Amino acid sequence: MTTNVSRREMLKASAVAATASAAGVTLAGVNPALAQDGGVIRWDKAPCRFCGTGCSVLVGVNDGRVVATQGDPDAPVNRGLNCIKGYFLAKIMYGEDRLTKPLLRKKDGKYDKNGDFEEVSWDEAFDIMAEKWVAARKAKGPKGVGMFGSGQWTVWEGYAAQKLIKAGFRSNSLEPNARHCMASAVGAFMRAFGIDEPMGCYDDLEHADVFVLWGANMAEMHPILWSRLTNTRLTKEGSEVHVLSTFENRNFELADNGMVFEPQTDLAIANYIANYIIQNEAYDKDFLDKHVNFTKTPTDIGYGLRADDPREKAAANRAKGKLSKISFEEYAKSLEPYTLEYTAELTKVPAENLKKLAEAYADPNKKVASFWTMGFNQHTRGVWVNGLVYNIHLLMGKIAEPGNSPFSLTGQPSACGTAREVGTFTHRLPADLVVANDKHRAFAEKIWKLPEGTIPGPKSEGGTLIHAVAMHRALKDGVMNCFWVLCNNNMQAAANMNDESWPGWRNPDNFITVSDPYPTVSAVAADLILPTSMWTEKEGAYGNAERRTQFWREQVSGPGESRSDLWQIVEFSKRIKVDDVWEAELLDKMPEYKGKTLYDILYANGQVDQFPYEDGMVTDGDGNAYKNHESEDFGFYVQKGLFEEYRRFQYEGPKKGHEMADYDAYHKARGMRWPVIDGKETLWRFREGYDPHVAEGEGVKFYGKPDGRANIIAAPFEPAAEPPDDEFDLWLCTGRVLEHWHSGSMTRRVPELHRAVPDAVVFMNPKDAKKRKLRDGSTCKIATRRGEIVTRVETRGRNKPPQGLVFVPWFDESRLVNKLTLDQTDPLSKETDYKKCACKVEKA
Amino acid sequence: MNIAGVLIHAYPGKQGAVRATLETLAGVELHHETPDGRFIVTVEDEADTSCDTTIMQLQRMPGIAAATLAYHNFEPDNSTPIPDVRNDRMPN
Repeated sequence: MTTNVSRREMLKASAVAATASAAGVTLAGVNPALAQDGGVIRWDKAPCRFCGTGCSVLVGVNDGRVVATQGDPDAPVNRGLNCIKGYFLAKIMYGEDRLTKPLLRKKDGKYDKNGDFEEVSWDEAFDIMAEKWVAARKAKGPKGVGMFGSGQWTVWEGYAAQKLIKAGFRSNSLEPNARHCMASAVGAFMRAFGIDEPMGCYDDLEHADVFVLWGANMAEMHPILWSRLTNTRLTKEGSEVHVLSTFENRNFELADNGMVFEPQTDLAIANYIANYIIQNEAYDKDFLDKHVNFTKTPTDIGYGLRADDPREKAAANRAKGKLSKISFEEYAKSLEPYTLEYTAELTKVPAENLKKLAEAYADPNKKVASFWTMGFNQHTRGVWVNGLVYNIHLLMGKIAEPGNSPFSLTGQPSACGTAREVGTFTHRLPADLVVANDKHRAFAEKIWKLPEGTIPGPKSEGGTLIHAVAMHRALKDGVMNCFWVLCNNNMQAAANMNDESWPGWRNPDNFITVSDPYPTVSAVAADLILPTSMWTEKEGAYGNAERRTQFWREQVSGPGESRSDLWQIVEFSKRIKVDDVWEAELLDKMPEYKGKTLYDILYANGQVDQFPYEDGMVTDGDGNAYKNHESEDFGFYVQKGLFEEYRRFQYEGPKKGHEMADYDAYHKARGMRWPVIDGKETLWRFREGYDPHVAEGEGVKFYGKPDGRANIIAAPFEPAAEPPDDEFDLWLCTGRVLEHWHSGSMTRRVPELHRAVPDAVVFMNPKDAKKRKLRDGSTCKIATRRGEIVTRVETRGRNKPPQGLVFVPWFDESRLVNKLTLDQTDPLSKETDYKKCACKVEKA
Repeated sequence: MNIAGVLIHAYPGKQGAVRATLETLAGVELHHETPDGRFIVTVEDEADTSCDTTIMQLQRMPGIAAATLAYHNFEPDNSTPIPDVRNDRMPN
């Protein structure tokens, strides 16, 4: 090492200063100001690329390369701290196999589905793609084409995609990968409150006395929130932590009450708590009288499998979800079966632990925050179980105020900001509008300057709603022929790869495009790969789990010919003539559109292109200038134009409560939590004094519902779709690990993270291993009715499953655990349950 | 060259054990300890152990509730020119 010693000492002092500042500690002789580095590094903020926490990171750039990162000391979310993945954040852009040119499968100089990948120009890539998309749209109608986007898209990428598919191609075949992670949370918010996303915010991590983790491994998946929770638990007298999971994980180390329950029985636990509250008359009668309706949901609704599956045929109310009103007494009666004895037996959780949890919720003097993630959402009764926790909070009136907070966490950086708020789902439009509502479609058409009837209604041609899992089924069945996958790795992520995903993508009739920075499992399973500029290689915006919208500038250029998803979507629209994809009768309503491209109609529409762009105009507070490749290419400030048009849905639309600040305000702020009214963010919604939409004297108002009341929704315990039996005798649960993010397409390119956790192992109880003559480290085969994989047994790791359950992470592309999983979904939210199917493990 | 600033939370009752561990780890320097069990440390590369490896170790050590990063500088050694080929892996 020849590094200058004084520079090393200076950097070390910077490291100490930054850490002390993050810890709120003043050290003698240490300058608490932002880390000093001799002025060669340009620092600028960006939200982290990984989970939904939304930490802000300061990114240091020197000579066109990211050379340093630090937790942003001015960020309210992470207060100067980063987790281990955040630590390696900048390295995700510099993997050796970064894609720099479009690649098309070719043979003898022509596209061939069975050919090898060859480098092609963007022109050639978009030419073949446009040819295939127009042909599929003509031959199969609106269902013939589909796009699968992402909760990692920037806000404007989602918005541009929404316009391209729903208005341009006039198809409802648009879904985000957030369907796999957040749809159940959305369904429950809409049913209970009529408006999406949590009412509370991360400040509840300091305000609460009691924390309950329901199926959220926060210690590994949301480490910064976990460090805030840890800090409260260690420093606030009387605080307590309850942890529920189907296996013991790292959260249990901090738990005052750790509970391992039998899969699916969380439904019963939540109902037991509600029953306890009612039996002990602990509920807040005044709150219930003023703010709550009692309802019940249809039961025996199936498992979201294909219609010919016997389990679907047997369901009395397949996929039904219409609520009916009941009385308080009827609700109370529905809970009576959930006694302490019954629940303890069903769940295998000791009675005293269940009682301790119920007592914490029922104590009027304790503020309770409940957190959940995939354990609740990836659940064939996900909407129900989310709702059952709202029931508890509503019964106690412990909601929408500091510390009393039912809180659905998110796994992706913009599952909220892009997928949910922009509404990039088959059934949604921006700002909580839905395609099924005639007025909502008409409103979107007005904003977008489109003829009436452009966006297909659910009963019109092409109006069919098609969710993520159904898309792979439609590809296999040849109903959909063109599929564009951006910013996700759905071949690895979707359940039942062997029976559905792979046959669908490789169906000879289908043309599959994948846009990604790296050659993922999905990319190599496609026919055309488009190289993508990622994260700080473009100007972006994300929305995190606490409704915080955060912007960043383009800080470095993408490698080679890579282009952002925004550029790809907008540029592709130039290749499509409206006459090729709209019916003549529709065009007759606006003949001035004849002969135009989708680009002219959707983006150069006098609105999106209204803000001029010139090089050097994007600057930070220090006067540094930044590039914006998309705006340079299109000749207008495209991100700003899209965002400002999107904002009209928030201010002029039929649903209030989603208001955001103007574009330029976000480049200055460390994010703001919507609704933002007169430049002021909202920390707790629905409560007077915090939420500007609740008038003086109203106290609490759930204004997402016409009568201002939230729904308590009765729902029973029902068994899982595929419980273990004699042959497949173990529960298989899949999930994540600290070191890798989701499918590992980025984190596996960071050598340090890859070295730390190179392979997915099967976490197993030592007794289960012994019964199968396996030891720690043995090679084993895991099989389900759908496939098998080979991996290594781990009996002493960080996850300690009970007997009868094994856990396998899904990040590892060399052990694709979704060959094993069942494509079962919540029939209401259409979200896959990745946590429960039957498997067997044997010596390999 | 890697230099990182790390904030460590010890579990209640484990402060002494965590301190003892931190003092023996190569490349780890303890700068400050708070009465409520928080440690401010820097982590650097050592001949046998890279900064990254040490940080990964800290994540998993018994007694440590959370090890979070506040600062990381990984600029190339001054003696090595900064590569301008975009596909090169970030130097350690």
